[in-house]
Amino acid sequence: MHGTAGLDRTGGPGVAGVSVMSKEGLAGFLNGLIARFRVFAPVQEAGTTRFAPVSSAGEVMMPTTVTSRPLKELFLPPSETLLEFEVETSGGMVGEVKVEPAEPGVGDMPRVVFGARPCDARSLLLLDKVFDSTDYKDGHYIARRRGTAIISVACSEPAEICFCTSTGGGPFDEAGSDVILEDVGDVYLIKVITERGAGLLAGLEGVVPGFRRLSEQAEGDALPGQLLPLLPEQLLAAERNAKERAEAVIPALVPARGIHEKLKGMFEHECWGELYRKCLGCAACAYLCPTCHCFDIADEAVDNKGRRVRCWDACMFPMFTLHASGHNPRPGRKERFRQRVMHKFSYFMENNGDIACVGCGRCIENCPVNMDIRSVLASLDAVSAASAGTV
Amino acid sequence: MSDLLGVSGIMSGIGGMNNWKRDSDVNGAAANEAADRVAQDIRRIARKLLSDGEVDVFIGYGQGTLPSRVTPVFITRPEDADALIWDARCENDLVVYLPGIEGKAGVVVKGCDGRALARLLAEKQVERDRLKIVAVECAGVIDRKSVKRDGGNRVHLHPSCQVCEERTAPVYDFLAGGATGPVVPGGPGDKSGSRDPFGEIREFEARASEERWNYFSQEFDRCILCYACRQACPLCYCPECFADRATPKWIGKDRALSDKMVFHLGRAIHLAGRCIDCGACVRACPMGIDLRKLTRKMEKDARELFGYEAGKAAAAGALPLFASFTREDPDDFIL
Repeated sequence: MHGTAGLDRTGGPGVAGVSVMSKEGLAGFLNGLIARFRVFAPVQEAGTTRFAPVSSAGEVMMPTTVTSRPLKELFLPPSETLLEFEVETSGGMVGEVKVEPAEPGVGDMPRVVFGARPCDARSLLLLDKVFDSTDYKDGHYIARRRGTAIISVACSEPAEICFCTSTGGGPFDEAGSDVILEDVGDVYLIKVITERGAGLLAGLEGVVPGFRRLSEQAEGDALPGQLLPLLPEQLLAAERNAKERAEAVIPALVPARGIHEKLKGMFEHECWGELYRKCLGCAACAYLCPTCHCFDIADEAVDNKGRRVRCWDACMFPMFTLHASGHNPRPGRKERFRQRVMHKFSYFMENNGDIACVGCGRCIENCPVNMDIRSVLASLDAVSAASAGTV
Repeated sequence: MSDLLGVSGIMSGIGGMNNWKRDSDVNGAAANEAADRVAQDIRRIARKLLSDGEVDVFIGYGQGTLPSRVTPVFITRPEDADALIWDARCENDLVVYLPGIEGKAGVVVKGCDGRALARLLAEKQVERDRLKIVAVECAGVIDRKSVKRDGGNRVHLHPSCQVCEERTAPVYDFLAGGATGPVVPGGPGDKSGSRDPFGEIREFEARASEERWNYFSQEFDRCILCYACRQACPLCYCPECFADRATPKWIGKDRALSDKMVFHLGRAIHLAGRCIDCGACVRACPMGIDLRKLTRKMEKDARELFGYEAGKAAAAGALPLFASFTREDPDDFIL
């Protein structure tokens, strides 16, 4: 997607093949990465988890589910400075305004994310449609995207909140990842997805104990920690089994991708009046969503110096789209709730050809009143088509 | 899974889900029977209130979409009252919905929710004659987050329930299921004096100021300013929160620790003498921030300095602490 030499992510599957690693090899693998790159991985923080810089494998919390906080915050931080300004004054007169654009997180790049889930990796492809499109190129976002490689961990055991298979992804989905690590039972398979991913692993094979190319996995040669040798075809069969098992846990039953046509005619439908009712109007869903990307821009200034700041915003707030006149086109919770659903499953599809949801389930997990987007979509889908076309 | 996605499935509950960590895990098998009796009575009362036109909407709990969750339901037809449930997962403070309700409403309240409602009545945010209050004698709700943290192996009452002193609402029209049983020592309603309800706060107050500052810094640094605490709070009803004001702007867009602190300290002081410790803020917080450290301190000071207990039966209709004055009010903190 980004065509810079050496950072190309267009290389397809199979470019550099598949490697195998014993479970015991993981710490060495992580420390090998950490020795060569600035690594961000899931860490625990008072009962919650987030992606943060790590300095040793011991700090990494191998995820059992998605992190509490989404991957998006490494690319679209909760708040960032876009530019700094200073108004020159002399003799009480306002003079020239000096503007200095901010260089976003250059010191942090390049970096490697380890432990993203396929849903989070996929969310970046959706954010690209907004911040790296033909219409608009966001320098801050693009700098972070170009400077970051993604090593995902496939989901062998999807959680009760997961529904990625309904949103175009899957527990072993490779989209958006440079490398994906799959737990196939006794060992990990590590698949290179892009050229960049191949570069990440180039210095580790043969250095990390228990980590080798699948093509070099010869008969009669067991990995450390393994009693029996595993043949490449056995490992690939184990991978297929793990993938099928995981996908079977979350059959694609949520009407997420196909509902956009129907939603087009449902803006004024009376069902919104019932659906929104229990919504409290907080932004736990939007802020923890890996694809929600609405932001606010404000100046933070003291005396004659200041910064222009971009920060997260959410359609659930009364301040969202509040006009200077005092008018708000979305005056109540019903309109705001409808906006969130419509943006994700109708407008985003119209504008960008996909839905703005990867089925990570964070909104389900964190909603104080159990507003389950799967049920909302099912309810919208169940509304009779005859009563839908009221606009 | 497919059941879960059907609209009817959500209302009628999913097989096996009703057995998730019920009262029996907390308070013994007898509690399950009591909860069933309460649930049946809630359904009966709601059906009658709706049939008789006494209420336009009945707000209660229905089965959620996850085994650990219930969800607020708004029932408008008598025949839908069967969706109402009651058990130890019914954590939400439904009183939060009342100021926005048009017409006449029925509502299920636990002891804490009832105290919140008493405050709303005293602060003239809801009209008593538009309400039918269905109280339950609460045995405490499960702290699902700590259950999850422990891998589902241990069941805990929510921290608020562990220090709850009045398990039944101070004002109500119906007591669903009647009296459900004796107070469990250490559970809601235990006034035996065998525990210090503010013990945790006293212990925290005794720490060095730097330690307390560091604790709050760490807690509030996790805040993502989603305002779930504020939105879930039945007493946070300001039409425009100070945190949302643009002129003057109280909370910066930097999302710096200082911005988060200003919000949480401002909110806590605004709840002084009003917070009734339902715990809705803590349960709503996706970052697991220890918000009760501040609100319980406010509660303790209101009680110890001014003899004021927000929403309790004795003070249910009283003016807010900050709206009343007596000559006996302590003033030794004034310079």
